[in-house]
Amino acid sequence: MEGPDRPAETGRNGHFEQLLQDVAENRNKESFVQLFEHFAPRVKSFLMKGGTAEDVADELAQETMLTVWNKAPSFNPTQAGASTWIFTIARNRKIDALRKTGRFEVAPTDPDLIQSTDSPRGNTMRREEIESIAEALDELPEEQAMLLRQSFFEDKSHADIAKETGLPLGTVKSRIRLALERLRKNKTVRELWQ
Amino acid sequence: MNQQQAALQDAYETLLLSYAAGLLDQAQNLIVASHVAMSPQAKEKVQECEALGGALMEKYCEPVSMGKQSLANVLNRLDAREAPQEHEKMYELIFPEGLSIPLCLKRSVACHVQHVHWRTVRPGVQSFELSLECRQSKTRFLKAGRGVESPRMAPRAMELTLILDGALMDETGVHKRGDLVIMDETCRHAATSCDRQGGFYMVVTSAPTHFSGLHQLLHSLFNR
Repeated sequence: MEGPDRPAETGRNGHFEQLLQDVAENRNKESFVQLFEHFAPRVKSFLMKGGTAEDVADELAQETMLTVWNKAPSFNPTQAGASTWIFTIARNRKIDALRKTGRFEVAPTDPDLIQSTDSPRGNTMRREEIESIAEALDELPEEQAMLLRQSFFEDKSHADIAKETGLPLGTVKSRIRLALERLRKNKTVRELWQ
Repeated sequence: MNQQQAALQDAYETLLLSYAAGLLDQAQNLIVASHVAMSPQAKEKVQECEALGGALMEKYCEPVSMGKQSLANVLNRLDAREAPQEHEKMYELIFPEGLSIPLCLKRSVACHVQHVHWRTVRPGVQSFELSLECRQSKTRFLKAGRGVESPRMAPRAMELTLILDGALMDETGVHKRGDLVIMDETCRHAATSCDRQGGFYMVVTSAPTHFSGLHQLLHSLFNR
């Protein structure tokens, strides 16, 4: 059980990956509820950060989790960790909602053309990748991490961020550059990405 | 690598990163998704960016409580069967028989095509336009015989060509099935269909893009 002193972590020990596989293989609703409770509020938060209204974000988060249930059999832990996989589903749902085109499945779950063995990295590496990125993000000074978040979730240009924060554009740019330098210097992240 | 090739490589990397973050328009999104389905190298790169997205979501998206009924709503819908969406006939009319086509492309064709009408653009080249909802970009399928130049739609636009069958040759080399060829407003050369059997391509033409915030950021992160 996760206590208040031990916040939910990024799939440590493959907990969420195991839940997903349980959903895929056994259609286990209890495992699904656990996934829902962890991820739906985060997906909703991700969507709201991008400017989606709360009620719409709630609905899209529900759609995302429904897709998680339906697509669980195509989840491949050698290609992505649970949070990455669910992030991509949420992202696709967001794109769908924006353009109202209905279904528009994107490549990560496409079994057609690439063999799953194409990925040279194993299950643990994918999970570790998320963890080490998360740890590296932890080590960033808050002012840099904040700019990174704004750029990522809100797709704001550096100029927009400068306007909103009241910081000079040059400062925004140099802080983002510093944040990236630090991430890149993180030993594990560097090894994973090079 | 000359300056133009470096710029194109740059544009390519940026395109993949923007795709991973969900920032492309519908047509660009579809052609990049199709490319990613056909190219293990592209897929690898996209997965790195998606891992950053997953990590950022875990780390920085403070949970926002779901509505009281939300879980119950979803649980009620778990056992409903999804309506099947495949309209195989349509894509049989578009894609050459026996050609392996990415699932996302098949599905999009199934959603967007009511009837198929190939138009002869010039001798040896036939074109069919896929009408998507997005207005910024135009999507076409092209069939070209061997040795035929692929026509540039608008010289000032950015053009993405995905080779679904055959090969294309331009001054940067020969591009094969699964490759995504980028031509921006600086490219003056044309690509030539160079496979014995001719070629089958998907082409997305867009107004030149201006990449902002995230693009710059991811780009500098992954291109060191």
